[in-house]
Amino acid sequence: MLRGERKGFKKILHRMGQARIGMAGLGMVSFVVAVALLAPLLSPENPLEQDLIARLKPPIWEEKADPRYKLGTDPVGRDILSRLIYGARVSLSVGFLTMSFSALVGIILGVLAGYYRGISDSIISNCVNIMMSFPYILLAISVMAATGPGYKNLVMVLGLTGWPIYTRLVRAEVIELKSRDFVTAAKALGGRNSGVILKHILPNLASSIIVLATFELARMIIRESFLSFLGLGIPPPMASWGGMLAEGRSYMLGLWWLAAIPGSAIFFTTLGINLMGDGIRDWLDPHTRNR
Amino acid sequence: MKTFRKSFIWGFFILLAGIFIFPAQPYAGPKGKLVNALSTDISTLDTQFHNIRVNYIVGWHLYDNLVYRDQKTMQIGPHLAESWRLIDDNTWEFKLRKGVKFDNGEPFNAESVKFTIERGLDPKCPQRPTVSWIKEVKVIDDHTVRLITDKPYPVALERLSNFQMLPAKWLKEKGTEYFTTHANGTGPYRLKEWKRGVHIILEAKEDYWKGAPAIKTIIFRPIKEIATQISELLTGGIDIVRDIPPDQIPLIENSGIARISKAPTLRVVYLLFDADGRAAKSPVQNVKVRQAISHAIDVDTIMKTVMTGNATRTAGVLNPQHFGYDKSLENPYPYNPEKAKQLLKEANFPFDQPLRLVTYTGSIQNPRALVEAVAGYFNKVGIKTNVNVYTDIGMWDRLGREGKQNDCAIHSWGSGGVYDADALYYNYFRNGQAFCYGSSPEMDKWLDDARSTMNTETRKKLYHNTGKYINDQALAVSFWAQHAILGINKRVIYEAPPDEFLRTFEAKLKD
Amino acid sequence: MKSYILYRLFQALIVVWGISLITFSLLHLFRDPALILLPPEATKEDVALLRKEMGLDRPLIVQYFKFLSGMVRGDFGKSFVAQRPALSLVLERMPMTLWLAASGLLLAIIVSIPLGVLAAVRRNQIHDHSASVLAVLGQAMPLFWLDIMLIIIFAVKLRLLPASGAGSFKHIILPAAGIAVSLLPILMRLTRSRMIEILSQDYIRTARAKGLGERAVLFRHALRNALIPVITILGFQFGMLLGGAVITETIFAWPGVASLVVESIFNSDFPVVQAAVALFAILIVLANLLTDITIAWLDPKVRFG
Repeated sequence: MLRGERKGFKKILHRMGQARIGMAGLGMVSFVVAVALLAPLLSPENPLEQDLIARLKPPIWEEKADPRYKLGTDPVGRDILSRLIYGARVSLSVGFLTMSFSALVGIILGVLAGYYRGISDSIISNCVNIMMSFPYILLAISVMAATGPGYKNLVMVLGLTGWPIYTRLVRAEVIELKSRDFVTAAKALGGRNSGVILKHILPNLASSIIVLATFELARMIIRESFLSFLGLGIPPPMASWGGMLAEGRSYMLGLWWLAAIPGSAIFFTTLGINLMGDGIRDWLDPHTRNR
Repeated sequence: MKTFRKSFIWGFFILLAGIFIFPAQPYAGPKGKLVNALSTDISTLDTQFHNIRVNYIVGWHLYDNLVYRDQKTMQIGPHLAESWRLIDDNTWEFKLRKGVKFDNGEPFNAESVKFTIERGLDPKCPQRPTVSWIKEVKVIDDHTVRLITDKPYPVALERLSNFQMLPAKWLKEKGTEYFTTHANGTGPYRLKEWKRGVHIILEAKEDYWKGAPAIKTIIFRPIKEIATQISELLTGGIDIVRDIPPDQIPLIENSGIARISKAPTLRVVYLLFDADGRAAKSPVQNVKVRQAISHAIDVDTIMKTVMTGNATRTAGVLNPQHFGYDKSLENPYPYNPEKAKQLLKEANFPFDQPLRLVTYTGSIQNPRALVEAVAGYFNKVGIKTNVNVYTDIGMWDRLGREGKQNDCAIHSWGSGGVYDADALYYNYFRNGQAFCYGSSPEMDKWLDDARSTMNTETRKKLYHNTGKYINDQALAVSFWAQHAILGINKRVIYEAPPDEFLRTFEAKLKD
Repeated sequence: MKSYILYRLFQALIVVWGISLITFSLLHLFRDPALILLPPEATKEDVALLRKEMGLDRPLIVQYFKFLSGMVRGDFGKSFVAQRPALSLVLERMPMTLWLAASGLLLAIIVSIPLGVLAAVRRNQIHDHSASVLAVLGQAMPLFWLDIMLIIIFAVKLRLLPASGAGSFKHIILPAAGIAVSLLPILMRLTRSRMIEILSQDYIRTARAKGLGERAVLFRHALRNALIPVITILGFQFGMLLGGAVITETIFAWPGVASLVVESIFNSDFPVVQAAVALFAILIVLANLLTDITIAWLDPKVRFG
């Protein structure tokens, strides 16, 4: 018996355990999505309303807390819990939109490069290399400087810098797939290129792309907080986790909750996404499926 | 597999043991050493080719100015210049101190003064405005020099209190590029080492003409992140942190190792309207709208909460410490949101259009909380806002200069250590100046006259008129004068400077 | 083989050129250094004069060719802020960033490879799951938050390590740890998945059937082959390290070139930005090139496929 192989009942339990991580991740992400969707119902206060007198109150379990603001207040007296809940909307939407945009561009370019090869491949591959070696901070700062910070500009900048990784992956896989028998067969049977691409190539790319996109989603959320760190994130008064975290980082030593709370939210969400991604990958990957 | 795990765990413990066996040495160790944190590294040792506060701070340790403001009396007194007089309205004569030498032995004399000023008049020089009022420098003898001006310039001494004297011969020999990385001054310290991005080490001069300073070694460490600066202060790695955020005051005071030192500074914070519509057509061109907004902002509450009480009200935008300040001009529009709403209705304010509200980080304390609090007050009277915080001073300056700072901009102005209304009013309310967004021909005349007469009574009256006009027309909403909040290690005897120039060459260490 | 290398070198040059072009455009279209150098009191004439002195009033194409010809000779001009040759400023601080990156990478490898192997061998058992979670921690935390936490825990609360700066071995531990944690997930995951793939392959079964000890199987056959894609990833990770370096250098006051670059971008100090970006591009491209050549040498399929 090979190491790691199991028999009978143990096998079933083991299979369920295998899925456990992914399920945990899915659960976490679903929770956050639910919070984001139900924000108006869940949020106790208006996340934009200021209460200067009650500014910087600690969470409810601390001494000087204000019972009205369960997780404390920020530097202008806004309820942190409410901002946390609405922040879920911003972080998730930014992450999802950027991921979709990058994935779309990346897949198209990757297929073009991998399927047609030749000049388009050279151009696209060089662009990919340039973009990947290019410090995106420079791009972000310069574009933001010209257009000004804002939700739309943020999504645009993140989207513009996220596509190369998809292209690289897709291109490599398309090249490999193209050489496989079933594609050659399809073409021999007289299929047009676009048909071959749509019916045979793309479906086989799906699993890799889904896995990559999942991890990229988490990365985009972290990137948003990085841009907030540089002062280029979502401008006030909109509540975003990255913005709250960047704002709270100078207070980590005294007013710890200002950073800890949004930080935990980011952590929880990206952890969930990553675990979910791990689970999806293990599930879709034929190598690992049967063990 | 077991061996894998074992070696891993062993390795981890050995690493940990190593850390314990060699405990961390704090940076500032024995007596005779003082460590300052700077928010950025100095850009150059050339005292004239920069525009940055931290460069001035280090520069003042290495070089001297002609005159010096005594920190106790706040009066300008002699420094490298022993005495001065006005020969006529346009001629200043300075008698220079004898026997002062630059670090390399070159004597300080009238030639040094002439050379320094002429170098500063170079159109490329960022500090040109400090001496642009000087038409000609005449050397009378080795220790007498005359400054000739076009028109009488009342703020001359103030300007000269921040213009470091340079060694003519040495600079001519070595050239400007050498100067960017080397120092040769008459000041209390000499440069021992400058490792870019790491530290600047200064060593006291035993034979300094004013008497040797009390601390042997002063070190400046550039640390951008305030959380790190505070961490270093709390662990004894840094002795002085210049800008403690007001909300962190309790943390420092309860730390046991450091204390807080506060002082009202010359820097004022205020909201400037694009009253002239310089950037674009704007509702704030209507005086009623500006008055409404003035009534809508509860400045006192903001001072008490966001600024944690560490602020002093200003009048007509001026700081109580400015010459020309008039307390009677304080608070022309008391907080009254109802009146504000009424005025807005009268002015037919377009409520569907958001107003732009901008500010920048770097000089203002708690800028984000401040601008958001102000935006909150706008919102309370129905005005929608579009907030933008610029983290890039270059960008901020550029937008200001190009006339793009609409509709309401929260500014701050440090006046460069010049305790005179001219330093503020001229820049912001004289038509044609880079940052002027609200002007009038009357103000132009008052401001021009005020800076070309030596008569203090006349000047006071002219500045009173200006301030009153600003109030009546609500060209700006006066907020407050900022208080410097320094975190200082308890072993250091030094207090916060009122003009933001850190003078640790005057500091002492306990016992 | 030779033609492959030449081709890749040519590609590398294009990349470096492309990057310098983009950098140039971004900087010149969006910023104006004359304004950062002059005080706010300066008049419009002062600004115009300074721009003329700096050569900023010439048409963009002219400026670009001047820049390009300089770049080829290694002359990026003088830093506007420091008035010293930009390239020497960048070269001065580059070693510190490289040291930070290398230490972080080394630490990441030391931890992630054993973890990855462990996770692969003990697949789907508790070792695997906990290793996964551990690795994912690195991707779920914004680096600046992690760095500040490290300072708070290890410097302020425990007083074990210095809070910032560079100078002794103790100063590199926290900064490198931060970087390592951010690299951990990818390296560990990759090692794990490659090890899993390889362990299921025939030649491993053969080796086992031949009666080789488990350790020999692991080391001599599996690990070596598993590391190939890991090496590939390292090349491309180098580019990502810049982002991590920016944060780490800012927070730990680490005197490297990454924080210099960001400062220079904000200060519109074009020469420094261009010098740094060009240098980084060259390094990244070289790193990728080296790894690609190594792989091509080991695996002929890549060369001709």
